[in-house]
Amino acid sequence: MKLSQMPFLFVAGSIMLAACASGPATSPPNTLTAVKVDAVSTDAAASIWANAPKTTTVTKAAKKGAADGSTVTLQAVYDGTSIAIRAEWADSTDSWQRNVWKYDGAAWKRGGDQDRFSMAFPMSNNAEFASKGCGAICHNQETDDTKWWMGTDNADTKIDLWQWQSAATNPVAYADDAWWGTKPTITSTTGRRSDANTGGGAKANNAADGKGPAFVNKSGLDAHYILAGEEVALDMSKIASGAVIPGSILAPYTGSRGDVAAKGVYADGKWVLVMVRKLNTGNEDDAVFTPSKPVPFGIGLFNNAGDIDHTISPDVLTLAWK
Amino acid sequence: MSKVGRWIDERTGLGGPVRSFLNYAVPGYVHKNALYMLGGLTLIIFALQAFTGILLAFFYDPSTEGAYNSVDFITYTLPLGWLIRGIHHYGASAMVILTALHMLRTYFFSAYKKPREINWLTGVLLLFLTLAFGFTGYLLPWDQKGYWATNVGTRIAGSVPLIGDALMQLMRGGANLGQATLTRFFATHVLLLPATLALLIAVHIFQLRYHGMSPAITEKGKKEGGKFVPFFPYWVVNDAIAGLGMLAILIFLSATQRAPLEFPADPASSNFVPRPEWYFLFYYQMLKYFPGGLEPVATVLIPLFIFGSMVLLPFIDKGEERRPWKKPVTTIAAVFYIVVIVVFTALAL
Repeated sequence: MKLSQMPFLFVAGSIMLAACASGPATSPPNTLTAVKVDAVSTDAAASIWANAPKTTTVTKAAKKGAADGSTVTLQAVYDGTSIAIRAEWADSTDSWQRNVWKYDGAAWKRGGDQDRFSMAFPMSNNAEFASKGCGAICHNQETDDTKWWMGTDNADTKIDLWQWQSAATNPVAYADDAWWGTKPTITSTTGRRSDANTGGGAKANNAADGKGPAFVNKSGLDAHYILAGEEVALDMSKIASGAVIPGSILAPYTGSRGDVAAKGVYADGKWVLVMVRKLNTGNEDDAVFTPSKPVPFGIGLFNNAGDIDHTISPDVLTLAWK
Repeated sequence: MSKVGRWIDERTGLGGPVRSFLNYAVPGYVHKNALYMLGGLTLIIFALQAFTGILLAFFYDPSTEGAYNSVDFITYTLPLGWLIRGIHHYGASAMVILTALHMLRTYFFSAYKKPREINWLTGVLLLFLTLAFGFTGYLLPWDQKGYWATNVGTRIAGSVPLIGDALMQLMRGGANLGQATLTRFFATHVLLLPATLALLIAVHIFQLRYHGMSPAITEKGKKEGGKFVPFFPYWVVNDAIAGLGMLAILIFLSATQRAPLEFPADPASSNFVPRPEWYFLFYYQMLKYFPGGLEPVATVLIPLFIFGSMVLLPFIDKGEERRPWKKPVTTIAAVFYIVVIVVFTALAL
């Protein structure tokens, strides 16, 4: 073969390359592309996010007739061992008063809720989740919300759930790691289970008679939370009408339930949250992430609410890798 | 001949035929023209596809319950599985490209003319078999893309007047896509097509050797016609080097852009937009121009016309002229088809 014929080979090779590699240059819609970085971090302002593509999803009410929710902007990065997902959404209030004790001048009353952000990933290949999203699985394909039982139809279908909570988990820098399976018993109302833990977790801040709080934060009565070890006994002489005392004493879970580190910051009318987890925790109750393998997922947003009162990504989202 | 070679030759008598095969005299105008490497490269890529296909078959589970997970395992868990599947995936595209380019070279050099009609016909069949490989292989991962593309593909077959239903039933093994479909596609992909292809390649090569290379079409080539080099090592080394280059491209593609695997097939899914592999995109686009009652034009008449004209070509174009610039009808017809395929493919992207 002559040297002058090399251009032919080059052209033929280029055609092959172009044809074989034909694919979208940009991320398709509803795709969250995780980019490789040196080291992930829960710092939402870190430089690692600069080159991570943003994808947005307008959340829709999960419950028929309820109001739709905020638009959530997502980004993802990963390193050799962990993945970090950054979520940002508008919220007019920082809802931290989940199950707090409120003093009306005569008695204590409990109440209140919190903001939450959750992500659901199938733990194995699942066609139904991949094509219909977490709504189809978690809601048992039932449009009547009174019939929801938050679980899967098939014992082989397990969904990993990360739920960050502004009051219950954010102060201790983790997101509650749980999973959905089938109903454990015929009388169960949910298929949701918490991941295994070896300790930690929140404890109720209840007085012995259960009619009020037992502790306050040692830093003062204005504290939004009480961390384990920072509680001091309540001094009723310092309590005035309208006082609000956190309803729990918080400590992060250890074990699989505490796998997901999280840091949410509320400022300027929005939450910015970063969740970090190992790609493979080695725990049976966690999804395994393999960079290069796309994973379907869904998100849920709870605005000062819990249970069915939330909004979800209406389409299946895909976690892709770059 | 070595001692071992003599021992084998005495018992098999293969020495003579092998020597004859390797010493085949290749004309100088062929040896020096890279366009004549396309056939050899196509053979190399087929061998590569067969080799990687056998490796994949060791781990592939041809059941609707297990197919996806087995391909997932090959792609993401099995050591170097991504590479084997990547080479097989991109190799399929390379085989289509090389077969088509080889066919075009044959066409423009009028190498289909007497006495090489049978070689041309086997080439036409090999082209369609290559496309059939692509079509049947698409379903095997049992992912959304393969499932829905096959759904559409078999429905196209079903739109053929009179025999459509039976044809679709035959392909699917039932009314809907399911285990029977996967079994049939798998058996066709790994047994029927490779065996048929190998047989046709043998006939193709035998015909090539029997008639020799088609005459040169340029004056310069004709002057080289009197000079010959032995097939081995000259042509073999050239093709081996080009084959290694092609393998390098396939490895590069496999490493930089993993062979895709969509999410698992969900027959109940209603929002998946099926799209065929890139080499069927032009046809996918063409179908859009023939809606409703006109559909059989695209599903039957046009494919039949193209296949028929390819089959009949050597029996229609019987003149002595072989130079494409002196044969405006065949040249313009080919350029027209190429432009249509490129434009339709671009529109469908």
